[in-house]
Amino acid sequence: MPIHDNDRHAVVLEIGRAYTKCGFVGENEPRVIIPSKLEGTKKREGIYLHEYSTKKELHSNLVKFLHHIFFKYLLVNHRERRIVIVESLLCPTEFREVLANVLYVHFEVPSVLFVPSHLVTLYTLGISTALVIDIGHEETTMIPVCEGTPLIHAWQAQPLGNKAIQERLESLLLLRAKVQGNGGQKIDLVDVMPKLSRAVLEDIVVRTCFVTTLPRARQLVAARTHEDGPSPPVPPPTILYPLSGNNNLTLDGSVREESAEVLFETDNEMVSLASMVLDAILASPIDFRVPLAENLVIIGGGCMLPGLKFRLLAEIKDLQQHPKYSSRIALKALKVHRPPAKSNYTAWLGGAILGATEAIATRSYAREVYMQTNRVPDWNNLADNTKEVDSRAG
Amino acid sequence: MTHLFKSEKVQYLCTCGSLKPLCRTYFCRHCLALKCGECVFHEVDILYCSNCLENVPPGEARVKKNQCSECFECPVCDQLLLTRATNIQIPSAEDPSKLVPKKMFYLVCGFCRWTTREAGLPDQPSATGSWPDSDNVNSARVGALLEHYRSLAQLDKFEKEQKRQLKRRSNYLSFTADKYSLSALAARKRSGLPFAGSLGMKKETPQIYKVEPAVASEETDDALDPDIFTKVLTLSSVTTIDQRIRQPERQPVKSEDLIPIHKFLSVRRSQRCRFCEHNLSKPEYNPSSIKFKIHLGAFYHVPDVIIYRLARDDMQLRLCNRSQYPTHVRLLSLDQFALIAHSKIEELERSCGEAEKEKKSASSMVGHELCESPATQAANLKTCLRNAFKEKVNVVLQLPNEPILLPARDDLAEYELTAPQNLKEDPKAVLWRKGNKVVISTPLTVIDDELEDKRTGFVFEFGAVRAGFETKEVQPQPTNVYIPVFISLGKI
Ligand SMILES: Nc1ncnc2c1ncn2[C@@H]1O[C@H](COP(=O)(O)OP(=O)(O)OP(=O)(O)O)[C@@H](O)[C@H]1O
Ligand SMILES: [Mg+2]
Ligand SMILES: [Zn+2]
Ligand SMILES: [Zn+2]
Ligand SMILES: [Zn+2]
Ligand SMILES: [Zn+2]
Repeated sequence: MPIHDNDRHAVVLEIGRAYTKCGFVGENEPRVIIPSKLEGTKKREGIYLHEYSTKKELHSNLVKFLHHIFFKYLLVNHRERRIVIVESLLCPTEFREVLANVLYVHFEVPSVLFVPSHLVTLYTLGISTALVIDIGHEETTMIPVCEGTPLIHAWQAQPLGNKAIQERLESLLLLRAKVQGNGGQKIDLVDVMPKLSRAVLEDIVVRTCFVTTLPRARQLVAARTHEDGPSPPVPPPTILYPLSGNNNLTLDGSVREESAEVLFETDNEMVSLASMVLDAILASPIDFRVPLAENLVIIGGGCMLPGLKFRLLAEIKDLQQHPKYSSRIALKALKVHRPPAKSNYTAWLGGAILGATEAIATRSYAREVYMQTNRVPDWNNLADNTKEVDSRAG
Repeated sequence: MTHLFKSEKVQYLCTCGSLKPLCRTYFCRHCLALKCGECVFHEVDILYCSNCLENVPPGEARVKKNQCSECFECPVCDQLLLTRATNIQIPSAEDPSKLVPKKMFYLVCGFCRWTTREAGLPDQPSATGSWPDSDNVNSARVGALLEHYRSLAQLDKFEKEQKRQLKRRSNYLSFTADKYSLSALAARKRSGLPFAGSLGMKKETPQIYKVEPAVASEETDDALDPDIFTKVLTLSSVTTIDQRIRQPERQPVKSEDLIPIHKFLSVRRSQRCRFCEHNLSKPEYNPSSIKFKIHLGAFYHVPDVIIYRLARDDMQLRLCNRSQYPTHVRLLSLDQFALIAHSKIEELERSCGEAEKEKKSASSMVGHELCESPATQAANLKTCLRNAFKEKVNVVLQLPNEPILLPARDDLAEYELTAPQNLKEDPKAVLWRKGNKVVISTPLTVIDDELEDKRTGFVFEFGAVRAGFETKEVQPQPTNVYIPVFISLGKI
């Protein structure tokens, strides 16, 4: 089977917990970005791939999902395509094992190349040292990469992703929002529905929420915590958000402004996006701390919320002055990169670039090998996988 | 058609162990086994646009990124966009002082009323229009990065090769010093021949294609517009996430930035047996045709069963043969099947041993040989037996003892009123027959009343002719095929 034939570009897949990006190596963007779930029917909502209870269920869902990807979106014969999987170094092994089994055994793909998402992100920039910050759906993960080597021991991961914002939004709405029917009468939201669907919450976050500025955030906290403190800033105007039927939700400006604050709150053990960045830098070798701070790469759909990156930098600068850090860290400047991609598919693009090089032939894990060993290399090996090419970059 | 015949009540046990209605399975005529959509290989056969039914050759589809160049979908609601024409007055070419009418075109969504005008796109002079393609603004940079890393990887590979060759060469020289004496090497050199192999491979060192590393900045690109705190947000002016990700490279945030989306091409798939790689189904090339070049739907090869009548202790089944060969079917209870299967497996394994003497290992067999080999048949029977006994039944049937003749499908016979030829059969078992259909009586006995929902099963035994044998002059020898069938009876 002539796999190396130019016509048969390898497939690049990144199966996130919220969205799957898929396309071909050597292309500038994924062909499609779709929710990582099976299409729902009239009777029931689609099931997210990562929300499985047994391995068997995951297996059968992945078979259906990938069948869809190959024949509805990419329109290719899987037995003729090498596969590049972009995944987080922190991806659960179980998921990877089932995915490998489905690809090699059910779809009989000739080879799979697993690449770590944080590392390949640097291929989109032509640099070899950076702190990669991935703000995804379920969690935010950060891994420093120094001279092409991911410093696994310095990784940070916290459940501070879009899901946390959605949950905060939900609780704020249930606390404050009203539902306005046709007649104009207003009822508390809690009395109409005790829960909001993931789709509605995501829609509200994506379309109406934003990350407010540091001074306003401080003012909000002060107003809430001190009775005789300053008055809170004037919130943005309230809007009506249509729910099902003729009902409208009164969406307060304050809810839109405050939902994302969950990412920056320091009251619980001082863990916020900003502290994660400083901790990751502190866990890295001294010589690399300044270069890392001057090479921040923020990726993942979560950072597409307006104002997020701006705020993150302001928070880090502010937190540096905190006694916990001021004695241990002295960063000159904080600098962020702008990869040539939309944030939610930056890591995918890195995989598409790497997969277009000779690495696809030399570093992939062939089907024959898998069938003999019945296992895929674990992430320790994966981290080495791409090192050589990297250490030369830049 | 599938819906008409699709029954969730009667399910056939596929070779892979899952239960499927008959119309959802294929019958591999080489392996003589059922195959379902989950256990066959699917292959892309034809790419076409499901709207204009244009066939798109694979090469062209690749260039167009699997999109139809003429059909567009609404970026707001995914419906097909319609082309609308308007007349405008433009100055005539001959006499600029006169106005002449000219037809212009724009796209409109029949469902949500979105139009290309709304997006600020000018009307086009032709119906197919040159609507803006969404170009990735980063393509040049990504292209340069690609070149860069390709050259690095190339260099990497080159150096590794060099290292390996150096090693090999030194080994080689030390081993063969006497065979290829130095003088021999010198002679080779003089005659312009390469040194023993390795130096002939010497290539030029690949050059690294350089790119500027990206430069980070202290400014982020997402500082908030102060208006956000004071202006009323119009919800409809912001796109939803579904609308954004439908255009991955642009992901517009404002509704006014949405542009028409090229319709994705669809595929027609063909199916192949996983075991013998024969085609089970292959559509015709023409996308508007609903015919198949090959179609081994089990519906046309395996007797079909439906529940004809059902009562507490009585059941009648209707069997129907849609194949072009008459066949004798026997209905076996699961236990009978187990007995037969065990003795068959033994017999097959014995002949397996003989085959081994002839030095024919499975790996050297191809096509027919593989499908027919006793080892394969024995393995298939074993899996079938294992899977069949995994299914739970709480009702047993009293099945006819004699094999039942099912005549071949004959479309003309449908119109004949004559009763079928005299067959010697038990009138208690065979209640009625017409053409290729037979109704049989299968009284039932509940053996386990614990569950309300009742379920029963039996095994079809029928003769089928392996593909490829019809053409031979000798009378085709049907092989016995066993297919377990399970019937959900519900509450009875
Ligand atoms: N274009 C966009 N605009 C605004 N928000 C977006 C956009 N794309 C994605 N998001 C939001 O970002 C979140 C994370 O998206 P992303 O694609 O990074 O998730 P993921 O990679 O599947 O998650 P994870 O990395 O946790 O597995 C989503 O919940 C989504 O709501
Ligand atoms: Mg992700
Ligand atoms: Zn099957
Ligand atoms: Zn078309
Ligand atoms: Zn529309
Ligand atoms: Zn077969």
